[in-house]
Amino acid sequence: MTLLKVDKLSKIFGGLTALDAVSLSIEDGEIHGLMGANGAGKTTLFSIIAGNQRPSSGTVHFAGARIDRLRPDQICRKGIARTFQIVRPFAGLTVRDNVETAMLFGQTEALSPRERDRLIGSILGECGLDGLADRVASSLTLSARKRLEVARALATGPRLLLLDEVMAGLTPTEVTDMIAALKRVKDNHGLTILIIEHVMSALNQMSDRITVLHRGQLIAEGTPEDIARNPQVAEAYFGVDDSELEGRP
Amino acid sequence: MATDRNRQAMRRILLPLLLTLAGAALLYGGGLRAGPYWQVVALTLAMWIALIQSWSIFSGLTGYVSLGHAVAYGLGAYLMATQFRDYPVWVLIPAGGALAGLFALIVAIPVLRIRGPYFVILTFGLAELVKFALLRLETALGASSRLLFGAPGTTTLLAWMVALAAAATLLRHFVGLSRFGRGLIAIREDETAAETLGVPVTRFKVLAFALSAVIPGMVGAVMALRSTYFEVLQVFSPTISFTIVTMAIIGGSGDARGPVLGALFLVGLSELLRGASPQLYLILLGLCLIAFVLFAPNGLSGLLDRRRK
Repeated sequence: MTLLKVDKLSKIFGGLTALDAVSLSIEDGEIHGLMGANGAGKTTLFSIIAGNQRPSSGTVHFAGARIDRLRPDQICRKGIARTFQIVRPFAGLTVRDNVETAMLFGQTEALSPRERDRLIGSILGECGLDGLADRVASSLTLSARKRLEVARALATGPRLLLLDEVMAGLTPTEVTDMIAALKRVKDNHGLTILIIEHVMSALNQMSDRITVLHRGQLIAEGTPEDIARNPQVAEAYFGVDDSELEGRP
Repeated sequence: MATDRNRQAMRRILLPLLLTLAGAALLYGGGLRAGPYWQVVALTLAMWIALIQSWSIFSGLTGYVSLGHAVAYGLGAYLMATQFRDYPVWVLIPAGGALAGLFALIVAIPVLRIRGPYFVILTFGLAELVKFALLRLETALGASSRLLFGAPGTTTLLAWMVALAAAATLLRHFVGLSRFGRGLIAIREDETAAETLGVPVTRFKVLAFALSAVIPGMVGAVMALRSTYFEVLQVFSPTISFTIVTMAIIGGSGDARGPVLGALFLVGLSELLRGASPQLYLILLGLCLIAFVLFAPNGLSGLLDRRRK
C-alpha cells in the first residue's frame, strides 16, 4: 500500500527552482533513502511534506488524503513527524519536557500522566537518552541532540518519520548505534521512514529503496544496488569520466 | 510514584494557591491597618502585580515582548470614564476586561504574523495609534478630560485591585502549568519546532494575547475610579507599557513569582527615593535594568533558583 504519494511537486524560490516536478511514492513499512548533493532539494521536499513550506505546484497525499494545504501541526497530528537537519531542541527545557511537549500536542488522543511517563521512559530508552531525562537540552552533545530530535518526533506517535541527516556530524561508532536504534524504533512503532543521509554506507545498509535528487529533479530511483550502478547518479555526484571528455571540443 | 504525584500536586497547585491568598490577605489587611498612605502604596503594588502577571501570560510564556499593554489598560479606563454615570461599576469593570480582550483578539490576528523585534515595534506603534485616534475623538467630542464624581473610596478600590492581582497571579501560574501553557513555552523556545510537533501556534498566540489583555482592562477600569479623572494622554501613556516590561525584566517572567518580586522591588525603590530625589530614582532604575539584563537575565526569581541550586 502506498502511504505517501508526492505528485509533480515543484517549489520555486524567486528565480531558483528548488524542486522541479518531483513525483515519489513511499510504501507502507519501507525505509526509503533520499540522496543528492547539497542544494538538490531534499530538505525542501521534507519541508513541503511536513507543511513548513507550501509547494508552488503539485500535490502530496498521505494515507489517501491530500495534505499539501494543511498546517504543520495538522500534518503532525495526521501522523507525519520530521526531524531537522540543524537540530531545533527546546533548548531551555529538559529532555523529558521536550519529549512530553511533543506528546501533548502530536498525539491525537490525550494520554493520562501515567501513560505519558511510561511512554516517555520507553522512547528515551529506545533513543539512548535514558540517563539524560532531567538534563536541559542546551547542555547535550550534538549526538544526544540528534537523538532527542528523533525521540521528540517519535513522541508525536507518527506513522511516517522524516529523518533529515540525523547522522551528519556523528562519529562512526555513533553512526552504528544510530542505525541500530532506528531499526529498533521502526519495528517497535511500525513506522515507515523517509531518510535523508550523506553517510552512504548507512543509507545503503538501511534503505529498501533509494531516490536520488539532482538540482531539484528526480534522476534515479531503485534498490541500493541499482543506485550504485546507475551512471546518471555517478555523473551527478562525480562529474563525467575523463575518458568521455576526450575528443570533445 | 503515587506519592510523587501527590507531592507534585502539593507543590504545583496547593502551595501557590495558599501563598497567593496569604499574600492578598496581607496586602489588603496590612493596607487597611496602616492608614491612607500605605493604602495607596498597596493599591499601586497590586496594580502592577496584576498588570505584569497578565503581560507575562503572553510575553513571559511566548517570548513575544509586547509594548502595547497600555492600550488594554487605557480601554478599560476609557469605558469606565465614559459610562460611569450610566452603568454600575460591577458591570463596567468586567466589561472593561471584555473590551480589552476583544480588542486584543482583533488586532492579534494581523499583528502576530510578525516575529522578533518587528513585533515589539508594531505593538508600540499600534498603542500610539490607538492613543492618538482616541485623543482626536475626544477632542472632536469636546471632552479633553473627564471627571468621575462619586467613585468608591480607596479601601474598596484596594480590595478590588488586590483581588485582580491575586486572580492574575493564579491565572499566570495555572496557565503556565497547563497544556496551553506548555504550547506557549514551546513557541518561545522554537516556534518552527513547536508547529512541526503539533502545536497550533497561531491559535495559541492569538488566544494568549487576548487573555493577557483582559485583566489589564479591568485594572484600567478600577484605576479610572481611583484617579476620578480621565485624560487620554495620561491613561494610554507608553510609560505604563515600559514600566511593565522593566518590572518583568527585574523580577523575571519565567514563573508567577517574578512579577511579584519585580513589582515589590520597583514600587519599594520608588517609594524610598521618588519623594526625596526623583533623579536618583531614575538613574538607579536605569542602572538596575542594565545590571539585570547583563548579569541576571532571568530576574530576581531566576536568582532565587540559582541560589537554591
